[in-house]
Amino acid sequence: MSFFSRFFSAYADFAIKQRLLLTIATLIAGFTVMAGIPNLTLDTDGRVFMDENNPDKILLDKFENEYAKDDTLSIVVSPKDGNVFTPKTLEVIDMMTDDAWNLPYVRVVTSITRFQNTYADGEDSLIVEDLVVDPYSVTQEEADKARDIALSKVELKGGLISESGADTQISVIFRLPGKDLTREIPEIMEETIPMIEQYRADYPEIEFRYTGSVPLGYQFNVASQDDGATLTPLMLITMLGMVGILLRTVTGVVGVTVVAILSALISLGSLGWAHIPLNSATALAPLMIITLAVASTVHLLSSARQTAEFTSDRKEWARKAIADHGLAITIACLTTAIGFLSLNFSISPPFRQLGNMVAAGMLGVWIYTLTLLPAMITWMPGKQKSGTARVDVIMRNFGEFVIRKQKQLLIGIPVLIIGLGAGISQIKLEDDFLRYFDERYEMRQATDYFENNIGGLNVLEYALETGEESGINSLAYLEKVEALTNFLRAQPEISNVRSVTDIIKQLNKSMNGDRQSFYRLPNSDDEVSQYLFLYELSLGYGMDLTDQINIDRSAVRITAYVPNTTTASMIALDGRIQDWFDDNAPELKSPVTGQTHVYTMISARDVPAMLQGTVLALVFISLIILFVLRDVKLGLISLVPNLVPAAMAFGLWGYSVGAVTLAVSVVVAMTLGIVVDDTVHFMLKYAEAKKRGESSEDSVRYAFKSVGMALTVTSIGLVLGFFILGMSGFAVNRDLARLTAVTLSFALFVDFLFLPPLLIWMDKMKNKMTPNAVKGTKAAVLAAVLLLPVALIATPAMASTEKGLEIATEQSNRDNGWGDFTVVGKMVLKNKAGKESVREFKSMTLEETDPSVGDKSVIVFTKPRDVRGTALLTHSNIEPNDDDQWLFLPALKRVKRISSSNRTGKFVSSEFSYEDLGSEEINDNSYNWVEDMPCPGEDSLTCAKIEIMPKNKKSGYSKRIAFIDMEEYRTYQIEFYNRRGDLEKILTFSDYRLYMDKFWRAHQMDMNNEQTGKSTSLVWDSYEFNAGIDGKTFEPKSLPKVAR
Amino acid sequence: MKSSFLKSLWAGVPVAAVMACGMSAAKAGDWAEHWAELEVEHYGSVQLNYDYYPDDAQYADQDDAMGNVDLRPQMVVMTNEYEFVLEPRVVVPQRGPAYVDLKEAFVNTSIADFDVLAGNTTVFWGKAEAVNLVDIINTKDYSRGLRSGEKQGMPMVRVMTALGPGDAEFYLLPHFVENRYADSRSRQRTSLPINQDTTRFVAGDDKNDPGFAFRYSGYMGDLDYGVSYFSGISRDPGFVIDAVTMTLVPLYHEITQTGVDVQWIYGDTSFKAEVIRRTKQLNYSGVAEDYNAGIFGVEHNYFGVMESNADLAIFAEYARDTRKEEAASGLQDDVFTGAILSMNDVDDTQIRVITSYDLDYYSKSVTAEIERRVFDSITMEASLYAPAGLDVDEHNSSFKNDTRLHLGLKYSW
Repeated sequence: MSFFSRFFSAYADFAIKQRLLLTIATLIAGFTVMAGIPNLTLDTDGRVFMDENNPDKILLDKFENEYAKDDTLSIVVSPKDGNVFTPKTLEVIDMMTDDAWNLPYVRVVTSITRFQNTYADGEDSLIVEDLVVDPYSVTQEEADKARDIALSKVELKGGLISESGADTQISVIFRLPGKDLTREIPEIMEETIPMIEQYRADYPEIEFRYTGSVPLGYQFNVASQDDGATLTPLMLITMLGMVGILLRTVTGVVGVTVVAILSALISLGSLGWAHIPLNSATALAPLMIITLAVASTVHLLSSARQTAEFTSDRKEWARKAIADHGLAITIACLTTAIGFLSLNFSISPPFRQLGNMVAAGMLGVWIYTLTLLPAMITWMPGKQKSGTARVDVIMRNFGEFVIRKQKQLLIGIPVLIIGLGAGISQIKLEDDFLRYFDERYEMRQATDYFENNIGGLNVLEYALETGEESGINSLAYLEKVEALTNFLRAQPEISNVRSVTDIIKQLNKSMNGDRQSFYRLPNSDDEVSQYLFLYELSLGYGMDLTDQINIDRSAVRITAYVPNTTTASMIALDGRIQDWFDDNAPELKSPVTGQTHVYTMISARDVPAMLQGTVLALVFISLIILFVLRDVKLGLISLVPNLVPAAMAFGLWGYSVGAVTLAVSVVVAMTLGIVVDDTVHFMLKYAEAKKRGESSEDSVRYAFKSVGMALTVTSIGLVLGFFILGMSGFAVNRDLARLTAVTLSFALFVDFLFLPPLLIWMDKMKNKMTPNAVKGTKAAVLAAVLLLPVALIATPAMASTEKGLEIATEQSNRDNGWGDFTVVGKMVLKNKAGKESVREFKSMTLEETDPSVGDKSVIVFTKPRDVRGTALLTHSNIEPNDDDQWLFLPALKRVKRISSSNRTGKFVSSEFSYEDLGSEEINDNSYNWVEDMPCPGEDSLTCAKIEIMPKNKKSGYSKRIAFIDMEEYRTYQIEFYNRRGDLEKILTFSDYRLYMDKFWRAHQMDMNNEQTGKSTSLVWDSYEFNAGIDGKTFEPKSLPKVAR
Repeated sequence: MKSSFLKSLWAGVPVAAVMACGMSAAKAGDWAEHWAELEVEHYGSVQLNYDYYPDDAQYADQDDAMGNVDLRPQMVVMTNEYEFVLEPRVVVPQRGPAYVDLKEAFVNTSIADFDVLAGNTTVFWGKAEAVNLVDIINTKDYSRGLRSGEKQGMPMVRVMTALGPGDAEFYLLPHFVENRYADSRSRQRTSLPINQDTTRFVAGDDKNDPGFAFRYSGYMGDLDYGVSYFSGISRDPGFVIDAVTMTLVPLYHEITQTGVDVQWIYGDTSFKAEVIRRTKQLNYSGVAEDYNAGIFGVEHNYFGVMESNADLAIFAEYARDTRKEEAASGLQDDVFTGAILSMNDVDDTQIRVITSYDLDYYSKSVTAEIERRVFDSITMEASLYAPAGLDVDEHNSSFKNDTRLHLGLKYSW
């Protein structure tokens, strides 16, 4: 008997004997966790899917700090007579505008009647006033005039008003305090909805709809509650009905209910104790746990039922069920939990929380299935059963069918798998934030109406930086902004563009007697600034230009509205816009941002992140299978039924639906842990029979007979459960659940129809092989493992500017002739929360004066203590050649030559990469002088700002910007731009000291990662120059000695 | 056990000799100066090990769990010309007496262009990951089972000098320290337990017969190479059955071994090979024969996998031995694959998974290890060794129930 069967057999005796104690103990533990439930709140912010570290989100936050955070509400007004410009409608619009001003947290309300119309009054006087001055006594004539003006304005069409003038919106922008979004958004909506209802009642001839980010946020709240209210009872009834019908025991139904509900509450309690609010994705966790609990408990119950055919001793039913199925249940719970825990790799916090909640719930399921459930079996009424359940006969026949048709299946199924799998190429990532809720919701209908009739709600935002204060008044700059505006308007996808140049052009026209020929940019920079100043003075309450121009007037914002878009077309559109920047205004090039854009990109970012999680889950789960099966071959085969179902499900999805939301990234990891259970159950039984010496066919028969029924029942239960979750109105939940349901169906399909023929075939192949064939296979295996991909080094391109090179050369020349030095370094690594850890090392460097040969250096670690004596020897080579590196491992006393292309890796997990610390030769980079300016942190000195472009393609940076002082050629600051071109890190140098009257060394270097908030400070101490270090010290042979 | 401690002290003779030699070479007047710049450093570690074997033991007297404490204080005394290193390894097993291995206890100095070391030390030769065939200087302590050998200090006088493009090393090994084997209660042992107290040497050989070794190594561009020759008592004894006690008697004998090891690095990939020829080695059946053996492999590194900070190294190696099933090592036709994931996080988390597969016997094993720092000075390691299909593999069938879970906790100062 193996260790596990001994263990579970012993445990079964214990669990039955001490069932009262165990029940009380586990219930107390469970209630302790559940006591966290009152801490739960509901998070309704639509941004909950964006992580603080998501680069798109960081960019958006920065953008919103500069301009404004647009929390919007759009009330769409559509008179049934198809014309907004009637006295009656205009009056209603204006009344509603006034009412909207009274909503909580309002910053500004714009509507067609309050549009700031600008015109001239005589030659030099500017009038800025509402488009409809007195809406309560407007004539049809005045209304028609307003219509003409409104429809002639390019900035209004497709924005405030539809092309035809049949629909208009009242746009409300809020400034939320952001202290407690779970209260602020409902607060607004609880006033908005009655207001709109009132108008609907009062003016039946006008249709009112509402959309925008605030109603969307509110929708998250409503939808989670909807899901909870409609799906939970449906789910419970289905699950219990199924258990009841299949197992025909009331005891079973009660047992399953108790375990499922306790575990679901435990998951909620764990979230409560973590003080994390519930959101629309995590609201699903309890329902998932109920489904999974059913799957786990069915194994125990069906075993108990089988025993019930032989004995009426209820203790024996429970005991045998634990002893026989304890291991399988433990593994099933463990792998499921691992699958869900791997969701922690997701960049979306709700998925991470979902993963942890379900993992906590699975712990509950595991404990209660092995303690409370058996106890209940012994306590509850139950009679001895008679006769074999009919379903067992079905299973036997099914097993025979699979064995008979094994050849056809072995060929047919892979064809099907490949055919379906090819559908993966049809999958498109489409995250449309605005359409996360389906058509059953009023808000979604309003959104569709808005985008079909008025314009886009999706926005692309660009901040065009001039780099200097008040720089936006420059005509040269504005001309480019106007060119971009025109380019954007010419794009078919874009419905409307908001650009400050429209205002400036209108002002120029108005200041020049309203002559249409002056509808262009003014002639001088001064005029621009005067016009804007005048305009802002004349604007109405709450209106200013700060949401379009930043505070120091160094940049303007351009907003493009894009209706009915998809992720792919948004990316393509931005691609064209970036190309425009490259061709026409490279200095203004700016990355796209905007709230909807972050969502557009979210799955594209989450897929690679979750790929890691999935691989890790696969590794752990495979290790568990290996450990349980004790057979590498079976372990490898198990990968097929574990991975293939997901591929088939995605393929089917690709053919039928095509578009997926960010749910797609987590499905594989999530289902892996569940799918694996079927495989393990089947293979364990197969291996057991094989070990007894039965033939492959008989082993398959045995596997079908012993676990076929239980697998079918659990799979049906799981598929039904997830299918019900798929009825959610929230797209992320819907896709997640449906994909899971499809994957689980395919898993059963593959486990029953493909795995058995595959196992039989593998055994036959092994027996059939001649010694020569064995050798051939061995050779093939060897060749396969020995041939690993080798990357080719790309040839670098070159470009350089003389002044930049000159400064870099001078800096390098001034640093020649020190011979060698030793120094002690101390690094303090800080994470975002301020937690510190320390690294210390000694370093020795030997100068090579010949610029075609790189310097040599040794770093020996002294702290942390466990890595003491680890040493790294580097012989630098000139780019693009990699350096030569040797690592000394003191525990083995081994000197190992290592691959050194790892430039981008972090040095001892600090913010410094190997590249940042390595020695550099002039020829490694090209240089570009930008300007002279005061040194950062040392205003009294003049620094040259130099762009440094690496020649090596493997560099982690697209460029670095260094500030080098022109007196002593010391570097004061370096800005590192990552491969995407975003600012990633800033390194500042301080505490410069002079050595040997010639060499300046900064004793303090602080690296701040702008994207993650982590930082590393590096303090150098005990510099010793010209220490006369023997050249032999820098040879691999000397490492053991140097490292002591 | 006391006697082996005394054996190790034997190393003191050459230490004293070299010291005397070095001192007379230095001018008497400088003597005081040397000692004035004396630099003393001491550090070390203590590790608690716990091995647990979940499966039923194959042999009646074997234990299911085994623990030990492994203490390694280290002291380095440096003067301008001399360096004294002392690193005893003190092992306190769960049962049985504690013992000391003088892993490092030497003096090191330079005389003209020669680097001279005298005393006990450990040496690493080789390039491969799974097993280092050329590595022959040190014997091992197998007290935690035959699957985990720890090198023991070997007394020697080593002279090293630059010669041409590489370095030459000459070793005089005046005294032989036997392997230390575990008793019959331990797991991962031979089917008949090894009785170390009955250790024998082939007629004419003696543990005080001097051994000799030579190695020439260096690098040329992306190629690192080493050529070595060894003549002396084999580190792999033959075993004869003591029919009275039904135990195995280790039988040591003299051999010669010539070895070549190379590593060629190309971008992120390195190709490695070690090849040896050994003469007069006792094989599995106790017959002395000459043989060749080799291990060939490739390693590939992925840096920053999936845009994270983690690095992944994967390797595959193939070992071959011309003695086939008579190879005492059991590495006659074996494939090793492995993956090492270094998370490069603040706690230096590292995960290693190595599998072995015997192409002749279809036996295999998985070793999975995880290591990380838990507090500033404390590191934790956990590992799992799980063999499978060992029934038919006569070399290893005695380990078939010896799946091992290992937990280790190390404090360093």
